[in-house]
Order: sequence, then structure tokens, then C-alpha cells
Amino acid sequence: MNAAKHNNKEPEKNNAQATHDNRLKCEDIQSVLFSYMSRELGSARSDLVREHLRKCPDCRELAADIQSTIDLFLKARAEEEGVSMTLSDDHRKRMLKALTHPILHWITENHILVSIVATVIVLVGLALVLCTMKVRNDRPEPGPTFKYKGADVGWIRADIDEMETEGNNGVQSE
Amino acid sequence: MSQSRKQLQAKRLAAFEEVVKHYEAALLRYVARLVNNSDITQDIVQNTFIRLFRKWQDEMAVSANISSWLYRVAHNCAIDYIRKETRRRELHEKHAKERPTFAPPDRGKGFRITEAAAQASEALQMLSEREQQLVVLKVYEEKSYKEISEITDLSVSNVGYILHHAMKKMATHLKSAKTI
Repeated sequence: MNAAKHNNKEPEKNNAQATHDNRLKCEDIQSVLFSYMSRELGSARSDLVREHLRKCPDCRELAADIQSTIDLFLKARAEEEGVSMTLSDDHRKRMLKALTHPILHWITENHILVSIVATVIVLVGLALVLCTMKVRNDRPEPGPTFKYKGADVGWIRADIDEMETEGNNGVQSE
Repeated sequence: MSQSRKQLQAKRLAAFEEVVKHYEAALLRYVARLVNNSDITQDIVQNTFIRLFRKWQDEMAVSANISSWLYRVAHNCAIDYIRKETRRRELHEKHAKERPTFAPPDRGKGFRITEAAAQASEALQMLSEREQQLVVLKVYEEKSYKEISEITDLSVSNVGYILHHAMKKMATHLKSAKTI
């Protein structure tokens, strides 16, 4: 009895295994389906995919959907192709100017940064000028000046001369 | 400036003009698909070329390296703009208490937006920045996984993985909206 039961279960198990294998195969095939359609797969793998597509309606349906998507993009591209696309005259001029005058171009491109830096420099300069003026204004008034007058100190010079002469005489008498 | 230096500069400018002529249309289209605003697109592409002239040390000529470099720089500028714009819009919506609505792409004066372009743009806008970039590079620009990997610094397998999820997401959305 047990043997009969076991025999009945066997085909079910085989079917489940086959479905599982098939699903796994579908997943494998679908992951390279776009590569196959773009001719990016090697010939051996392409043959495998082609063989599978012949047998599997699900994968065939996905392939058809992907092909329709590609066709839509190609149609869109074909409609755009008639329109010539070139850089506008304005952009071309700007580009040539950037190549021949890189510094001017850099300033134009970064005009916000340049404006900020220029403003900061002007403000710092202004602050320095104001500080200098304030320091000058706050400086105290100078006191009375003493002028050297040769006549006023002439008696000191005479005294020194006299003392030197006396000193010399003393040394000679000794 | 000496005569030889002037000549070198003139030669470099002439080569630069050639590079601009070769890539401007592709870059304008690429950026326009990401930012959906013609004036901003022009600004971004102009700045990308200026950066190229200043930063590119090797010979200025049409090449795969310059192409990858231009796409990478243009993309970064576009993403910077989108992030700034998103922050501004979020702030505005917070004040206005409005739900975000889909804005049709602006590709400049005289450019008629077709139904397909509007639908594609709407589907694209539901993706993340990275997914949008990869879809535009792959589907519109028809770049290979290897080229996309060079532009984005992602591995080739990662490019395939992200693209698969993005395409599946858009296909599901467009199907549920009965667009496809």
C-alpha cells in the first residue's frame, strides 16, 4: 500500500520539479533577453535563448513587449532625425570667447562670486580709510617745543673749555 | 605670445572646430533626451566642449576616446542639472502641494513633439538616472555594451543587467497604459 502511495506521488513531484526548472530557466532566459535582442550575446547562448523562445509562450510575450518598446523609441528617434541640431550662434560665440579669453569667461561665469568678493574688498578698504581717519583725529595735541639756541648754552661750552685748560696745565706743572 | 605658439593655438582651434562639428548633433540629442529643455541642453553641450578644449591633453581629433569622454562629461553635467531641478521642483511642490506631472519635452523652437516622442519620453522619465542614461545610449545612440561600459565606468555584464530591468519596466508600463 505504501509503495502504491509512493508511486502516485512520484509524477506530481516530477511535474512540480519540471515547472520549477522551467521557471528557473525562464528567469535565466529573460535576464539576457534584451542582450539577445541587441545581438550582444555569444552565439552559443543566443542558440539557447532562441530554442527556449520557440517553446515558451511567456518569454515570447515578454520579448514581443520589449521589441514594441524598442520600436516606439526608434520611431521617436526617426521623427527627430529630420531636425538638424547644432549649437546656436550665441552659444558658439560664447564658446569661442571662452577659449580665447578664459579669464573674462571665468568672470562672466562666476559673476555672483566676483560681485561678492569685489563688495567685500570695497567694504574692507572703506573701513581701513575710516579707521585711519579716526586714529588721526583722536591723536593728542603736541606740547610746547624746545628749540636749541646756541647763545643760551654757550656758557656751558665756555665752562667746559676752561676746565679742560686748567686740567691740562695741572698735568704739565706736575 | 610667440609666433609658433600662436600657430599651435590656431591649429588646435581648427582641430577643435572639427570635433565640435562631428559631435555636436549627437551630443545635443543625447542631452536633450535627458534634460528635456532646449536652452539647458545648449548650455550643457557648450560647457562640455569648453571643458574638452581646456582639459584634453592629447591630439584633438575625432576618436573613440574623445567620444566616450564627451558623453561622460555631458552626462555628468546633465545629471547635475536634473538633480538641481528635482530639488527645486520638490521644494515648489511642497509649497504648492501638487502632484508631480509629466512635462512634455522641450526641444527648442520649431520642433514639433510627436506622439511617439512624448510617449517614449514619458516612459523614460519613470526610470532612474542610471537606467535612463543606459537606455538612451543603447536604444537611441546604438552604442555597444563595451562603449557604454567605457562611458559609464560600469562593467559590461552590469550594463546588460541594468538595461534588462529598465526595458522590462518600460515594457510593462507601456503595456499597462495600452501604448504598445
